[in-house]
Amino acid sequence: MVSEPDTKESFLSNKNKYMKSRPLPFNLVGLLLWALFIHIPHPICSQETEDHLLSGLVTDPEGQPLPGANIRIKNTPYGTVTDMDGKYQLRGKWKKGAVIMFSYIGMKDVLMEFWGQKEQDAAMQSDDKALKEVSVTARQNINAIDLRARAGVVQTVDMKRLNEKPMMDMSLALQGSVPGLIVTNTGDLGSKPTIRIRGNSSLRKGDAANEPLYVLDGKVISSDAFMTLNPQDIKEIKVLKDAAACALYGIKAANGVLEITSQRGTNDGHVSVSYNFNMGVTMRGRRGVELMETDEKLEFERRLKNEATPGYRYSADYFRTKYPNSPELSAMIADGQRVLDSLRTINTDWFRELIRRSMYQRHNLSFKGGNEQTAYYISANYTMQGGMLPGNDTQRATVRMSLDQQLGKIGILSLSVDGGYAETDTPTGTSFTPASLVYNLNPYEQPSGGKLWSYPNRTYSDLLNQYSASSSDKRGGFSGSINLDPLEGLTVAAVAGIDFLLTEGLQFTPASSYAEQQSGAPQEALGKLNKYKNTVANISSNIRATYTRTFKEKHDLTLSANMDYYLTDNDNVSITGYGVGDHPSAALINQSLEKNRKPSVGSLKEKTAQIGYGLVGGYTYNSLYDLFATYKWDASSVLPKDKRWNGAWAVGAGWTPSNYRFLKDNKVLTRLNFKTSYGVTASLAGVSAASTIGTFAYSENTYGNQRLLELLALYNTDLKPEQTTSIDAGISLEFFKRLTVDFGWYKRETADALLDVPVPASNGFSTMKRNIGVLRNDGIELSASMKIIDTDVFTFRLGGSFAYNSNKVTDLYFTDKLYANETSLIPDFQIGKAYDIVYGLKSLGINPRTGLPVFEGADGREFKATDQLKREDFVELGHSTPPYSGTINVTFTYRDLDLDMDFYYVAGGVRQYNYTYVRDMSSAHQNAVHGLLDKMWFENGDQNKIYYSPFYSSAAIETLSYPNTNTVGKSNYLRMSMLSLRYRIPRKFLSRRCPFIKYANIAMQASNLFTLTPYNESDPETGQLGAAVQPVLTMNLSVTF
Amino acid sequence: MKTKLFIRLISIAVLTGMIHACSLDIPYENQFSDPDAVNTPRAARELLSTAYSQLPHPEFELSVLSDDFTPTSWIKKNSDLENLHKWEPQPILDLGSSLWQKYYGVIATLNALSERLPAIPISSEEARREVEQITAEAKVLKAYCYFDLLRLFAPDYRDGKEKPGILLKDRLELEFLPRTSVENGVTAIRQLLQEAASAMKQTDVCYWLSHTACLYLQAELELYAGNYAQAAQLAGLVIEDKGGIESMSASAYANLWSNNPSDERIFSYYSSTTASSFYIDIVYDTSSGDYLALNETLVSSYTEDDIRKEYTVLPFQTIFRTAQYMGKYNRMRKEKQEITYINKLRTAGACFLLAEASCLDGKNEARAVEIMNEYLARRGAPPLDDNLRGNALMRRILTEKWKEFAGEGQRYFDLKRYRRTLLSTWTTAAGKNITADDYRWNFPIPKEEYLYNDNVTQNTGWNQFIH
Repeated sequence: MVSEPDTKESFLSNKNKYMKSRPLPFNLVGLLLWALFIHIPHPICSQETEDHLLSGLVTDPEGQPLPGANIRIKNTPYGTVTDMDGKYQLRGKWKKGAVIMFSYIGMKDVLMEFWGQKEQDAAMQSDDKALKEVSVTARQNINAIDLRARAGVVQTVDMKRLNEKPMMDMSLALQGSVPGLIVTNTGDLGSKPTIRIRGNSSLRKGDAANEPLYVLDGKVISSDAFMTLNPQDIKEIKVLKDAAACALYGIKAANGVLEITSQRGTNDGHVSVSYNFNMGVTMRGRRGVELMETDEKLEFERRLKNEATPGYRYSADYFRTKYPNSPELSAMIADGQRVLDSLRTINTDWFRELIRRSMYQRHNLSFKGGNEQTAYYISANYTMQGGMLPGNDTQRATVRMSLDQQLGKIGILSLSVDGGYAETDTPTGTSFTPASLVYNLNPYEQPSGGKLWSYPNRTYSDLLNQYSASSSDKRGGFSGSINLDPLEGLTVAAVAGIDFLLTEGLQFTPASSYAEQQSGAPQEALGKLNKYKNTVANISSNIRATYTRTFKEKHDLTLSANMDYYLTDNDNVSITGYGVGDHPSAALINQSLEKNRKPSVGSLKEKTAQIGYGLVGGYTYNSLYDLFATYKWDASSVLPKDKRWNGAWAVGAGWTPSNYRFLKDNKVLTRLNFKTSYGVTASLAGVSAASTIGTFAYSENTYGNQRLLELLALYNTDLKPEQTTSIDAGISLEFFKRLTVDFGWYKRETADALLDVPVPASNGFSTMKRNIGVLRNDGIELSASMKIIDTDVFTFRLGGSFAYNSNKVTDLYFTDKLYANETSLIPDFQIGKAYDIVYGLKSLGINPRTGLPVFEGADGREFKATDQLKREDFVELGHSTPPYSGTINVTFTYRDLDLDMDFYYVAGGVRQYNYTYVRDMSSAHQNAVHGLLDKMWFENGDQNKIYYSPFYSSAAIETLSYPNTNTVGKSNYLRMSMLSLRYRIPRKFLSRRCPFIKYANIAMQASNLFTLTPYNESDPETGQLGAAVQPVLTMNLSVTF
Repeated sequence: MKTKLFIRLISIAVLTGMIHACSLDIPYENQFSDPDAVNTPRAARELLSTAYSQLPHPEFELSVLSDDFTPTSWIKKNSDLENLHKWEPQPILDLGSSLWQKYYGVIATLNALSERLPAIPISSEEARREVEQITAEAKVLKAYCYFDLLRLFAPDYRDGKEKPGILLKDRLELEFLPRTSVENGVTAIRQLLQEAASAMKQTDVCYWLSHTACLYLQAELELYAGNYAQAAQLAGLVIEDKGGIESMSASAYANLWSNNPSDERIFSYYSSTTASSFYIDIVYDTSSGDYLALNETLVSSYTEDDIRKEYTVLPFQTIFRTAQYMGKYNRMRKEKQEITYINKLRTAGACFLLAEASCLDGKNEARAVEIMNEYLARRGAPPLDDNLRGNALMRRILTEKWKEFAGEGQRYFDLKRYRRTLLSTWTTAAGKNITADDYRWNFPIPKEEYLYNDNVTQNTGWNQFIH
């Protein structure tokens, strides 16, 4: 090792005399052209040295391969970055005795002497002292101060594994990536999943009050924009979980933060071009329940005696009941038998018919390069995912460009531009999901078989061709940042960005469709068209000054202050009109129509802004102790002036005993770190002005000759922000440099939790937003990874995580059980109980005499299904959100072969069975679950049945509409979320056959291959029949030039 | 030096740019918050219009409870309506709940208005007059709501004025109020009307409450509270204001159930957007018929030349016979006319107030007969016997009132008021099994109030349904 005095060098702050003599181009367009056309074909200057080829592996402090690390031969233009496996290969001309420098942001530079070796590995160590320019200058997100991570909980998503999942949806792919980040699929392709960090912090349901904040390169983006990002453009995702980590973002971060850093260029003087290609199929996925085949269904229909079903209508029973004395009875029976026999020849498996395999493909092309003055990154991506119905698909194309330019000695200018286009086409639109049709259509019906029994008077094509729709998202973003170092130790950075999303769509129901034909509207009013355009513009800016100083080589002090401003502008317009006939054009709307077919226009414009001021201070003593404190003051334009400003503060402390001299070289315990933090955030997220101050709006109605100015809500002038207090403690350990264990504990309490609660009707409104109680989330998170075998040819690593979250309503200020309204029997919240409890009845089974369930009431008494229910009769059946979740990650490497596997599991939740496939007499015309003939009560004396009598309508009996102990199941599941088998084409082969290729990989990749669950009905995650995440199986080719 | 200058320039540019862009006073495009929301007389009028538009229309349901209607065979298709007709508790619970919420919704809007009115800057004499007028109208409208609530949810004044009445809601804020006594309710209403009467100007626009409407409500309140002389005097003023009984012409009567102006309107709800579903619940099917027809006793009590019959009774040809259906709004609906006016107070009502008060006063029964005969002449109906006095006269007055106001819900209040005395035999005629002591005469304090307000007491009998 060679010692080097100036190790805290930014990759762009090299003092290259050759480059410095160039004038600085400040014109942006000029800059871009200059970068693209002058510097891409950078000539390799020949020197009086030999050709060398150097390769090796760079690892992080945990011993894991480190992608994106820089390798440079000092004072030469040669440099490169490590690939996804932490490996690199550097070719060039340099002298013996040159210095090889390995660098990575946030880690100590490693310097090695070149003495002619062919291979050189490097193990990077995190730089506990490096809080200075190294990390700040090259950073887009100027809030991402490393200091946070030493007292707060900041976890990084493994982007390599994320990219191995062939999934279109960024947010779904995050499932299982970090313990405590809970991603739950909500339904069909394209629907937005629920993302929560450590549970809900508010009693209010929904995203507005509970979803985390998304920050891309320092600019705030919406969760919808996050979904459309291309994973391959992302260098890093950090998940900020506790108050100390989030406090820099202030009140917006009460639910945690996802910090996304995009790919940037490199300064190795080379252009690296990568092409990545995925192609495969989306499989059908898990079949929820087995349905009846024709024979069973016809027999079931006969027993239910519904005349609208062929099984009864053509049965001998029917004719005997209906025409007992007819002379033609036997002829009728024989005719009926013939009809039934012909139906028996048909046996359609609607699951296979409707849930189709579809195509999946993804192409990604990126250029990366630069020199010591300029770095750039350009990428283009195209993804296509087919839908379940033929013709329906979603396509997305994105481009991204970034440029970093050294501004002489004083700093760096960075620019990024990105754009995206996504289109969803639904030529055959149906309001029935394919999954619901699977359960409703009968096995004796066919796609081409005329009118259906299951949907009387309609044919299969009536069901499918209800409308056509198309929608598109156009997204564009621009951000620029300047990092300046005007004084020793002082950095001033500013970032400003705009993100724009235009969503357009059209939904068209032609005049010839079944719905329009049945609407009863006159000919000139047929054909419905809805067209909308919504725009969202996000503008963010942030300016931050950071001062860092080291005293006496032991005391590191960092002080930082910032001011940020975010503005969101929503502008929506829509038109709906009728009478367009069979042409999907808004120009054809018949404007003479009146009443409910009158053309209508919708409009919404909403502009909101937030401003914040923050202070941060950090101190580290001798790499042993860390102290961290932050205060952020934020204001939102949504709130009235006196409630606008709210504060968030946090303090944290860290202790790293393994940095003591006596532990420094311990072979067993190679790292030991403790950290703890405490923070308080005041949040009014999701609260609008109407809840806190008299707010009025005009309605469409009129009185006399006047418009109506209406009061929007019963406002609460005493409304206080929710106070979220969180305490965190964590320990991280490393043994033998092989086993790392991270353990964290947290308790987050939200006092003054807000909720719309019922108020006496004499107040003129039925609900009012009030501070009603206290809820608490506490839990533990554990993650561990271990290198079990680690040799040159074979490695085997095992990792896993486990998270447990328990939530509880600890106080309600005005009551001890809160009901949503005066008629509900089940409390929404109850003191001492979790907020996600599923309440239901205790079933004692089906009464063999009546065929209806019998329940056990509050006092142990038995009561009938037809009895009047009381609030006391309900018992807890379990949690709707599984409290336990985690992952298991397995990695095998054998020579050039890699095998990665990820499993995701959840446990401890319950879910009510759907039961829509259990038919009663009135719904007997639709298909039913296999086995009902045995398991259903049909007549007096049927013992030990599971399903109650089909001769009652469940809508008429209140007790049947609630879950009970027999109609819920455990929603635990274990899913293989990712499987990737990759073969790296050996370098020797490449250098011989195709020397222009640096790396090449071929892989088989699959996501969500299978799910194991004791839940023997629908999808345990979404609770919907057939809406499970579908497995995607792809081939992947990745080449870097 | 150059670089330092450059840094300064950039920093200054960035900082000024940010501070300029950083205003947080961004109003919503379509929402208006205090104090800028209701700051002109025009906005105040628009808020008041909202209060007017929120008025409930219980006319049909109250008529169903009374003896105005008799069920047709279609009633089996609508069990809710059938049960309401039978006075089953559930539909009364639902009706009570809906009316309570709607009347208190109006009151909340009026409270929001009256809290903001004093802060409206007065720029001209015209503005001052308009603000005064709005203030007064708000009081009359509130009195109107309180009076309806009192008559629906509290025992009749004569059943015990000390009994729990209604909640007097004076502020737009979360309150858990107790019920005040019937008498206190009357006092509060009286005060509101008296305050308004002095400030109110006369208006020709029937959809705003006018000075005449205020007098009408005062007369009705005094009759309710047993101050007959005062009621008679006030009712006389109303008739005078409307141009005397002479102004009640056949055409004015006909126009009451049309979209044309009518001289007989004192106060009518008017909306082209929200009134259109009025009286829709009586119709089973436009071709098949209605759930309810008019009470045959009522139909047969009209003489042939009575113009009231022409507009009240609508013959409808069913398969078997000609049924006598409800006319008025129902006729408009059947003739595919949009319903925009819903008559709330009209001149005929003042005639009955005057006649009733004069008769009950005991000193002026001849005046009652006189006014009735003048009124009947206008309607083309035979006059009363000049010698009618006492209960016989009262019964005739109430019968004529029934004939005038059939289907308009008035009858329910008369039944509640006179169920122990003059109208004690109504149930036998209407086929209803409701005694004068039945708990259902007082609507239940709805769940929406009772379950969240510990200070409110429930009306006797309803505790079995709401607990």
